[in-house]
Amino acid sequence: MVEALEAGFYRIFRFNPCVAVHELRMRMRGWRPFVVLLAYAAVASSAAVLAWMPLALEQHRFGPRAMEIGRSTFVALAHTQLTLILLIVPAYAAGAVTMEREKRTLEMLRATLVTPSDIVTGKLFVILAFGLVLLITSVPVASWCILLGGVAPEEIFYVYSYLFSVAFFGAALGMLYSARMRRSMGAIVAAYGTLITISVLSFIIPMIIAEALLGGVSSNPTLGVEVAFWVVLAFSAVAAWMVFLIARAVAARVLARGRRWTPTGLGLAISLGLLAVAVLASGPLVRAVSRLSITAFVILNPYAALAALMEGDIASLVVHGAPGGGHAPTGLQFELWAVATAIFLLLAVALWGGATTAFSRRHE
Amino acid sequence: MIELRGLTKRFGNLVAVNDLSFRIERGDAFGFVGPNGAGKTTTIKMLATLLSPDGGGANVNGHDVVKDPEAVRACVGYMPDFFGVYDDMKVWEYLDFFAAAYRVPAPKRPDLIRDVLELTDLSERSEEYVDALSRGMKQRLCLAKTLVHDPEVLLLDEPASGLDPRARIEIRELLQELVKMDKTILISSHILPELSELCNKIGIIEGGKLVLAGDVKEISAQLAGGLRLIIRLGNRIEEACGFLADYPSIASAQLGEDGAVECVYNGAEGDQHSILTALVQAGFQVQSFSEEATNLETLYMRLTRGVGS
Ligand SMILES: Nc1ncnc2c1ncn2[C@@H]1O[C@H](COP(=O)(O)OP(=O)(O)OP(=O)(O)O)[C@@H](O)[C@H]1O
Ligand SMILES: [Mg+2]
Repeated sequence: MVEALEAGFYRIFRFNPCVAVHELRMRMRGWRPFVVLLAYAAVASSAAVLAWMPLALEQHRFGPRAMEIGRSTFVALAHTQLTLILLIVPAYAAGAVTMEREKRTLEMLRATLVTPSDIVTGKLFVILAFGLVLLITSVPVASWCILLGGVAPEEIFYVYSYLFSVAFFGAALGMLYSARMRRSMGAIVAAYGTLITISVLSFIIPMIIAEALLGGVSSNPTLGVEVAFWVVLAFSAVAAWMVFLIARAVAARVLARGRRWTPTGLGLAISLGLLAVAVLASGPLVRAVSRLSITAFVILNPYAALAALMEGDIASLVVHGAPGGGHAPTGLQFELWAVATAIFLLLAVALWGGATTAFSRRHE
Repeated sequence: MIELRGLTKRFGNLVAVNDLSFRIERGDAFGFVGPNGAGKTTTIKMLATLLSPDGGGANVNGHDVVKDPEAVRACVGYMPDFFGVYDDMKVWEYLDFFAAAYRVPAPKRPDLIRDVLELTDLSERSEEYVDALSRGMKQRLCLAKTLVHDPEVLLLDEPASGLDPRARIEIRELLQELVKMDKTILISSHILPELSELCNKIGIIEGGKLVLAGDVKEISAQLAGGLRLIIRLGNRIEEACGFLADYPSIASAQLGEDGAVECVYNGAEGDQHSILTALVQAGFQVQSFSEEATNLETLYMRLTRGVGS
């Protein structure tokens, strides 16, 4: 029974889970994971308590602001968690393969029937599972924020799934460097360096463009239909290519071997079909994008995206270039969540593929 | 069965393995000998599909190492020259992991692991952590790991390096056991006597080239007739060296470091005196004339002298 399941799993996904199982055994053994877990929970909840305390003390004087308490506490909790995730997950991933290189265990592993994707994907998933466990430890604190008021239950889902997409992105980025480089130290430094560069550039470039070319951040113009058209076209082309690659790979695994044209044909058909749907839907899409302000690209900064996701006035400033009062309209929050999460997930998938390719090209 | 056809590997300008061709039949134990940097590890890595050749090719059990690496890996057990072990892992978990990596179905693994632990004399240690094992035990564990998918071909890169004499003997006995199991084995080493007892075939590599390959018995038999003569002279040493090299029953003559002429005699047994007579007649002042039995070790020293350095 187990054997049949295992064989079936292997046949469909061509994935040998032995590296994942082994990684799980090694990473979850002993006291280290619990110390990290405990530290994570302690830092995240103390940040929440520190944000809550002064507000709670003030509450006696400003009764009507009671609504804000839960919200501010939740904002502090989310930002602290983002920082912790960005610190922990890329470092774990960056050491995953290089550590085996340093200990000279990788060569023997590569001489077995394990594939580069078994190794990279297996290790990535275990790190991701650990990231998920870290996030889950703080869910009780988030629920407490709901009780304090000012936080909607679906917001918890938005924020946690967004944090998970950032964790996936960080893990895939670390894994890419781990697959390419020889030393763990170098890979960790490179991963942090890339994260910092992305954060800084995604913040500065939209500002510079807005300031220098478009007459200042204060006016914060929107993209306009023409730019929006090209943006949508470029994104569709990239998306169609990725869909083609994925569909072809899946088709090649599911279909019988030998007939080599079928996976390519199927991939092409699916990809072109989706592209056609995209073309049909491009009118509203282009219109939506054209209303975006130039600073919307700041969403590539993980902190800016989180801030926009949770705070309405930031959101409308960033997206539509005009500060709107109060909380974000629910529609806008959903859009922001979808876009930010999708961007980080897509980047993560691309980096994951890149890590697998880099690993298979490298000789030990 | 292992077959090399003009296998070549370059690292920049350095030709690490140069046009290597030989065959190892099923059931053979092939000793692959050469000094440091000769290209043994590079050759073995190409056979284990960890490095791609720059020229020529190789087959393992009929599978091409470049075209069908997966089939090659499935039938090869590879033990690297340097390796590490995972921390926080028990002996049986280590073997279970490698069995899974070779896609041995889960229900079959416990029996296989028990067998290889017994073979490598590690049965009592199966619950111990691998990083706590001694060097010799780690080496045996690594050998156990190469056997866990029951491969027909074993590629062992210096399996006894860094071990004390007792552990070396244990490894050798274990290898003898494997030879009896009708596996095709390639063992590298830079110590020849260690292999000459274990292997039925020997290949000597130097500077990436095969210097000599063949049956251990044949090579030994060839050498049994070949005696080493050490001749000390009072004068005209260089000239005597040339004279001896041209002499019909002498295969080669060289000037040794201590000023004596060393030559390999392959004439009839008991006829060495004719050389002495010829030397004296030619007017050389012979001070001493002695012979030394040759063995594989001295042959190895002679064949690989100075080529690499
Ligand atoms: N990755 C590499 N890059 C550059 N040169 C290499 C590399 N690997 C090996 N070499 C060179 O190739 C030559 C052959 O090395 P190899 O390791 O195959 O020798 P060896 O016979 O195994 O020696 P030893 O007995 O020391 O293990 C050496 O000169 C070595 O410096
Ligand atoms: Mg070597």
